[in-house]
Amino acid sequence: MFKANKLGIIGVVILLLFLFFALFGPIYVEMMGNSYSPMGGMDTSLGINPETNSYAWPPSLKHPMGTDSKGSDIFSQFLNGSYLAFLIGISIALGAAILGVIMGLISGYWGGRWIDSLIMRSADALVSIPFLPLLIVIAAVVGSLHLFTFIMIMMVFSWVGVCRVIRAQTLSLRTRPYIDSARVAGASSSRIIFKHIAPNVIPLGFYELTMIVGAAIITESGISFLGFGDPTQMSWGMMINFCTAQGHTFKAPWWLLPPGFGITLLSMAFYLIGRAFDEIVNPRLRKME
Amino acid sequence: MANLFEVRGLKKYFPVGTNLQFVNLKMFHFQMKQRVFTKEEEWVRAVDGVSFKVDDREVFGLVGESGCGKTTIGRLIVKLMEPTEGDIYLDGKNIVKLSKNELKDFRKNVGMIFQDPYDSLNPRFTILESVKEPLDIHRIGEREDRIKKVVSILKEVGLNPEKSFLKRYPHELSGGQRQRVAIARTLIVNPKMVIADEPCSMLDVSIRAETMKMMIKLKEEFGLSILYITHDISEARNVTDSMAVMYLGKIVESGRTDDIIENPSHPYSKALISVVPDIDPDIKRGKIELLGGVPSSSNIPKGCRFNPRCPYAMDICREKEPDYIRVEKDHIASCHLL
Amino acid sequence: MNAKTKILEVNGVVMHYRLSGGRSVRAVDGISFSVEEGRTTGIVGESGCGKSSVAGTILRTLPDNGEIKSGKIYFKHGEIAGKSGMIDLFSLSEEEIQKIRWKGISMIFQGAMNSLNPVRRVGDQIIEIMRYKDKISKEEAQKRLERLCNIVHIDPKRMRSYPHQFSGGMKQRAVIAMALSTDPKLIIADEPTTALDLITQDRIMEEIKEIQKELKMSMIFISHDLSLVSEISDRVIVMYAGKIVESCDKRSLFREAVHPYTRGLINSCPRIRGDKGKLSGIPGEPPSLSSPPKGCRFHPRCPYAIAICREEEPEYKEMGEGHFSACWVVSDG
Repeated sequence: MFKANKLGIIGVVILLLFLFFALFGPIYVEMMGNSYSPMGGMDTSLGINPETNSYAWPPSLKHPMGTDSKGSDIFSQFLNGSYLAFLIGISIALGAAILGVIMGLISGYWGGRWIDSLIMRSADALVSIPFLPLLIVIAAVVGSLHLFTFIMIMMVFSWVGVCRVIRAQTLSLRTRPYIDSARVAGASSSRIIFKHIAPNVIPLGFYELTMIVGAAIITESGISFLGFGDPTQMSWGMMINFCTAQGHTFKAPWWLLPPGFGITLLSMAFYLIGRAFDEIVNPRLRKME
Repeated sequence: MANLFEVRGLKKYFPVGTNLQFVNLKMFHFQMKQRVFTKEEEWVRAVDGVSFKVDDREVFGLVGESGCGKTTIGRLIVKLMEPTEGDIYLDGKNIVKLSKNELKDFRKNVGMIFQDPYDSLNPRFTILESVKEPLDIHRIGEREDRIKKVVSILKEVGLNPEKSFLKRYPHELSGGQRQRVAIARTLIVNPKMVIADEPCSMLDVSIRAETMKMMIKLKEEFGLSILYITHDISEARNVTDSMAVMYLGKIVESGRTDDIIENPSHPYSKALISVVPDIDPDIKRGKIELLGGVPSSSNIPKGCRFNPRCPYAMDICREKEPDYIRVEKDHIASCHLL
Repeated sequence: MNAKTKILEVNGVVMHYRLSGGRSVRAVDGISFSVEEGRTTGIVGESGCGKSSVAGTILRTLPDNGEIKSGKIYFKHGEIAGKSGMIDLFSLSEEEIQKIRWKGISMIFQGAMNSLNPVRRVGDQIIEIMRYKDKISKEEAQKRLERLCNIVHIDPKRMRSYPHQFSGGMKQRAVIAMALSTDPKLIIADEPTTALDLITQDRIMEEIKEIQKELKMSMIFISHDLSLVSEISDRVIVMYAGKIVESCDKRSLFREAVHPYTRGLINSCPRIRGDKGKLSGIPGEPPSLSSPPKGCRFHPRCPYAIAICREEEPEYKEMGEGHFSACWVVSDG
């Protein structure tokens, strides 16, 4: 089923690979010493690279992915970026999904009543706000966006999509005879929502979650690349930002490519897993027997 | 025999254009507020003044074609929706307005079996979980007792070997077996009354008879009454003690089943009986031709609502709704011809 | 047998639906029957017996995983496909059988009312089929349409309406008109009245009987409702788990049915007339068509099963004149 889906397996493999990277980061720094620390660690021992006019060196035995203009080990930054991508992606997705599922369940179950209107109109209002410009404005006003703030804001904007989908699903489920049967048996609304409807809706929520992770990673990278990200965190987006800011875009491809691939591959991995999951979710819904 | 259950003057109107799917969820609270602006004619009069009584240990049939309001009555009785007007009495107590606690108690007393065995059990619950749920909801007995109760009721509904069904899922069972599970789930709290809404219409013919027989057996054992809703009048004949024939939201004839089948008095009942095909090729059935199709419940004809299709319609039928005439003991019908 | 000619003869047809993992659903597992010209053969059986698959097998409108394994189906009017006389439908190419569809053999599907195109006028849909199959002019098609309207009792003016403006009964009549529009020799009707209310069902059945008499049409009537089948058919075939268990004329069905399943089915039908009688069902469940029981497929539910029933499949043979059945218990005397 899930295992038979080749794309899903590719997604899982990539995911596990990057998970390994994320967890390996601190160990690597432990192994190699402080000069390899992703934020602030520098290795000037190699001297200035005449081709880049900085401490940026292409990959070597000492530095598997090379160094950046300050002499920081890029591999270490890459590992750290992986960790941050997971952190950002999953925390945003989890928060948005949980919020979205709960809101969707409530909204869908009481569809047509005031609570549904309240939630849906709030959702509409949020959606009508142009998200990226808002982020940039906040970043400009506050200085730069602390990671936590960024995560919170993204959560607030991402729950809407999940909520809509879950609400639609809930609306269709609540007219099913087994829900009536539960009600006739005396089940309270909360029992119906959490025991009868929620389990049928969670798989869909999970699917939405995987989609959000990819979006969150890409958004963060974009924000950081534009210079509005959290400067205290060396995320992949930050790496690209530094590289271009230092003028090394074409001079040091080994600096640009790892974060680029990281962003692309990891988001794609989540997307593939979500896609494979979708195939489980849908036939389950369609199959009646 | 005591009157267990009574319905008086029950009415259920929906504003035209209501999405009937959402009705039972009180969604049309909003639309009800529009009532002030809605004209009398723009209501779907699904149930238009229905009264009947069900005795203790009786199987009472509600028979009619789709759209006659019988399913709506079932849903009103189990309080999946509220009536527009009218009273419902269970054991002498009016159940239309109940407090939260009274409602929970009520749910133990009236159960329902649904038409679709393929969708009336939660596909993610095991049989054990589905049948045990009413006990959990009403906190009956201790954990261990509950499982024992489930096993015992599965035996009663003929699911053998009981223990093997506990961990299975609905999709592993056949339609007939699922319906038995639904019945078990309803009976496990020992209700006084069960509404059966077309319980056999989605089952194979050979399974129907078994299911009907089982329901009658359980009715005796558990001492309950059944309101049996069906469009199949031959099914009603074989399983009900008394019945009511419905047309467009009203009862046109009611009484003891045998009396009605032998001596149908309302032209609609006569027509309904005459169109049932017979497996015996030598039986010639007297066909009664009805003109036209069933009108919509939002546009109920003036006078006797059956008059446009009635082959015997007279002038008075187009003007005045007929009263209920007593045809014989316990047998009434509403028709100007009587 | 009398000298009535056969318009369709089904001989030992086997059709399976292929499932993943090498298993298959043996939906039609060796059936033989015939349809006489101008008469109706009814096929009755419960869900999962394979009766609906029979129609698809005759017209070869099966889904991708439907495989015809063996047998022959002889149809009298081979000239429609460009061949002469009695031809084996299975021997025709896709192009040839396409010619037979709707011109030689027409079909009324289950739930056909919902298969009317909702965005086109009803009359146009019928005309389209006529012109596609018979290559006639618009005027000619219009005239034929009016004639059809008379046959199925629809006001010709209503043909300009859209399906949603038709009632259930009218939609079904429109579908019947569609099936008749190309003057087919044989119509297969698969549960044509299930979704209709009883009164309309009765009327439609009457109309079908009238039409059949008037046009001298042959018909195969498939239904789960034994009384419906019995009323309209001349000959009745009872199917169970992909096999024919009994076949006889309608009178013998009620009076002299021999197969335990048929008897069980008859006793399961609640009657409105005559004795209330003892309503008895058949215990157990129909078997899975992907792994049917060994021996006679009905034996797990049969009150008369003997040892051989569990081991060997009974032979389908003639028990009385024109009365066939497949049962060990009965054929022994």
